[in-house]
Amino acid sequence: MFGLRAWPTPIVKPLWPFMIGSALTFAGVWKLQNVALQSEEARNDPKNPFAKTAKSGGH
Amino acid sequence: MPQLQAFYFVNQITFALVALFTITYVMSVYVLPYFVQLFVTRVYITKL
Repeated sequence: MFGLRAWPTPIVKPLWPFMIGSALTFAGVWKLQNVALQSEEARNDPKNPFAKTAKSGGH
Repeated sequence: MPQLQAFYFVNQITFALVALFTITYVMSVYVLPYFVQLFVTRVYITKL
């Protein structure tokens, strides 16, 4: 009887603006990352994990 | 500083949002109502 049961707390009803904001933020960060990765500095960075697999970091 | 390098931004935001919503969900569905029930029970007991 005592312990952690699940309660019918409303989640979407109070939090939907934050969910929409999170989705917009995520899309914005995705776009920002794409733009930043196109820059010359990132393209030539040896630490870039998105470098073409032709030159894979030989271990 | 790796957190400031653009390669990892999406990874960081994904992890942060997943953690945020998971913590909010678990706290609001399981943890906090448990304490509400406890305090309400104490009020009822003392007013019997």
